[in-house]
Amino acid sequence: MVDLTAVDKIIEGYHGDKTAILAILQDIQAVYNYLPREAMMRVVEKLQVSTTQVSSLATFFHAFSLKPRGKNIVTVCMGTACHVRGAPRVLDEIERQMGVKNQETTPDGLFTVETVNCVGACALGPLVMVNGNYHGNIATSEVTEVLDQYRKPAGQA
Amino acid sequence: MVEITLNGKKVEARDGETILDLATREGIHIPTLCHHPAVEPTGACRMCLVEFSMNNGPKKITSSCTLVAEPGMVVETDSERVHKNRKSVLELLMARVPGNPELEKLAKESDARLAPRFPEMKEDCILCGLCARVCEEVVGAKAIFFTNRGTELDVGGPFLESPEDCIGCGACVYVCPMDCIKMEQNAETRKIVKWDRELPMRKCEVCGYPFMPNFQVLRFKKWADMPGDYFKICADCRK
Repeated sequence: MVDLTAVDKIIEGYHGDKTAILAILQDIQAVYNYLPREAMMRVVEKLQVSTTQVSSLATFFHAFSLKPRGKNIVTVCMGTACHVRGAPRVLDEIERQMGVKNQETTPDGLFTVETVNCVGACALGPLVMVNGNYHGNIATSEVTEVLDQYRKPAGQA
Repeated sequence: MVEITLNGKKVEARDGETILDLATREGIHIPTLCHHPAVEPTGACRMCLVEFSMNNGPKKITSSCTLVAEPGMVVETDSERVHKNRKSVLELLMARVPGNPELEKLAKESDARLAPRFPEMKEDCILCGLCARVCEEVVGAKAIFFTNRGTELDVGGPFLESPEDCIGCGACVYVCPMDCIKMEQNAETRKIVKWDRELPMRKCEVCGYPFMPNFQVLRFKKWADMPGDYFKICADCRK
């Protein structure tokens, strides 16, 4: 069972406002790293909206995940600028090192690989974003180095 | 009242009237699939395309079901460009849902190819969303809606699972322009096949006819605050 006290607190923070449903879902994902079904059903119940409304929103936006994700989210930009500068090769290298495909999570739960169609930093392409940190002009040979930064907890040698 | 030019003729439109409604009132046929007078238009099927311009401006193609008449509007429902666009839309729909009688009927009205040049998709639904609009606006159940988007777009219950809010009324079955939502019913249960929703039926205490799904009775009681024994007998026996 998923602990839903955080969900109740988030909904309270928006005073149960139905129009804030998208912001509420974003906040829930920020806590759980994905949208647990139980959390979405709690939103339905508390905001008195239809299940279909929550389902259509949660599946419409690429930014929402309905599956549990890893501790670190590795987002490879596949926009046009990144693409021509070798983003597919960077994605291949990341997938090879992780042993998982796009949209999948490593068995140790440390990384989830995702792609996005543009992060709006085209001058930095090819670009990989990890937990919101930008790693621009990345070469396939630098992938290991970047990922290693997230393998160990901060402050540990 | 709003005066507009429709196919070269000056006509009076009612305030807020759409071009589709106006044309129908004027006896001009515009083909549609997803239009239903009981619900808000969304311009999903694109069959009702017309050409219009404002104050001699550039001519634009748009869906007539969502186009509200405005003063100075000039609308063409029968131009070559309109027919060309409708034909393309129809051929795309026929590639998505091959062999559909309703689409073939429309194809015979125009000169669209019965075997379109696009790859066949073998779907049964054109994703117009009329079922979902009726479910929300007329029935009030909000049991079905769109899930995902783009090429993944699909219609059905939440997360494409069996819809728990579906009362089995069959309104979606009735309005579907593609006739792809089927209902199966026997003395015990009613099933909406496309949504995978099966509901036990309630039998009339007088004549024994299975007149309504149990779940529908429960919802009606909740929505309409009906007395507890109101739905024990069917409408015919209640007379």
